[in-house]
Amino acid sequence: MINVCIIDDDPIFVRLLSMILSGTDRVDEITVYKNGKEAFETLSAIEKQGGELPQVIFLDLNMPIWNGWLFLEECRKKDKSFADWLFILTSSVNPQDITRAGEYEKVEAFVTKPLKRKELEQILSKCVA
Amino acid sequence: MYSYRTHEGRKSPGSYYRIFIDQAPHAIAMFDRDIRYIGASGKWRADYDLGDRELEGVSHYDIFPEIGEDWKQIHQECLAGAVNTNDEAYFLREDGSEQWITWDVRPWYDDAGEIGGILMFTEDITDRKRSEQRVQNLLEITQSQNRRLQNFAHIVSHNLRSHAGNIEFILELLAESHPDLLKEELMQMLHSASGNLRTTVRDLNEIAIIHSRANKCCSHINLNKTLEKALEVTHSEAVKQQVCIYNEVPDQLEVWGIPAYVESICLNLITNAIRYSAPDKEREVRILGEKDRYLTHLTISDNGIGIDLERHGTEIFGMYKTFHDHPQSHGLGLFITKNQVEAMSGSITVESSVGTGTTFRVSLPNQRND
Repeated sequence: MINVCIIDDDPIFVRLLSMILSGTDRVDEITVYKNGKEAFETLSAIEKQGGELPQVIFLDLNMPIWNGWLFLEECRKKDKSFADWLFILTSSVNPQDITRAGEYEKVEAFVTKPLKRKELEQILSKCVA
Repeated sequence: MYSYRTHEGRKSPGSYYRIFIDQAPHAIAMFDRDIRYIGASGKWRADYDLGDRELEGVSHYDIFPEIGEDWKQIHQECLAGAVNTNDEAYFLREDGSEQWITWDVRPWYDDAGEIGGILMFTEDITDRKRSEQRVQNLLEITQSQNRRLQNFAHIVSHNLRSHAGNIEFILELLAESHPDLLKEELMQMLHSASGNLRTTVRDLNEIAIIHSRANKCCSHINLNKTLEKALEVTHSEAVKQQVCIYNEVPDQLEVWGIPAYVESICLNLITNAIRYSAPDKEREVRILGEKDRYLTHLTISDNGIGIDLERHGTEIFGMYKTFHDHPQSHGLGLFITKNQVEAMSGSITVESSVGTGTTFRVSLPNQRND
């Protein structure tokens, strides 16, 4: 069973993703952050207190306050990863974004919305195995 | 008759020049060693609002008290033999008006070969300068509008994608949890509407990213190699439609652009030429290439069904415009082609008449130009 963290400002998408994640029998905890800053600060605090960090992060790119890039940039600067796996999960299909994501070694894959259930199953089976 | 002799019997300074100066069609003035006027052309009087006032013997500095030390310095240098010029000098006149001037100041020599004073030549380029500035302002406005528009297209296509994606996602989940719903006609309609929305958003996105890629990853591209690639891809369709394609583009012809765009342009125009070939005659497509100093021109002609340009001329490169009842026409191809051509600073034109055929001509730079 894994602990999943969703960083995304779209409540509908978050709800849908949570629905499918809970529907699988691989996920036992889901935490949601509405932007990169909230996620970074809370995860940093959890790490500091020795709490349980997620195994998987789904990171959106376009978000208010801190977008996904800022989150990645800050993680790189402070040398933090917070999770074993980080997936960018975004509506962007801009080739520049895809290229840029490749520059972060912590990014496992660039996944484009709409997410298909099959795609999600593949991702999870990779992470749990 | 002019007489330049003084009562001492000596020539007045610069007398030889004076006749030319008074009559010159340009703004010219001649000064003695103390920068006092010897003569000035009518144009000089007009440009500097001097009217008919007496100039001879009057100091230039008395007439224009705003002349600063920098100018006096230049005059002194010229009196020492230097030639000074400036193509675009800016002046703020005492009355607050602005002037741009091209000027040339140089010494003149008397019979003995001594410097007798200076000659000034000026041209008022204020009007030209103003229109240049207007054009520059317009250009800046257009560029910033263009940037905003592109930005807008990105945001719209991104946000539309998010919402369209959610709807698709919801439908997928709904279909899984309530399979019976799919039998409902309204549900099927919602499903296909969602699919259409996704296609539209994808098209929009494709166009939005065309311009953001420009100026990046440009290179020299061999036109013929690109065409051969496109011809390979379209080969089976050409055979099926019995269209003969003659590629007569010279081997060494190059364009400067984005390889993916040039490929897409060639592919799209060839596909169109094949698709709209006439059903009842020997079908052929002819591809020609030529270059001039700056541009490479690619011409793709078919002898097919043609387009009524009188009727559709302005719309042919528009979005979602189709003029034929062809199942594979989406009305996006030529729109994308035009956008790609223009993103590489090129142009595309079309000639056509119904029943005779259509010719597309693409002109692209053949060298780097920035």
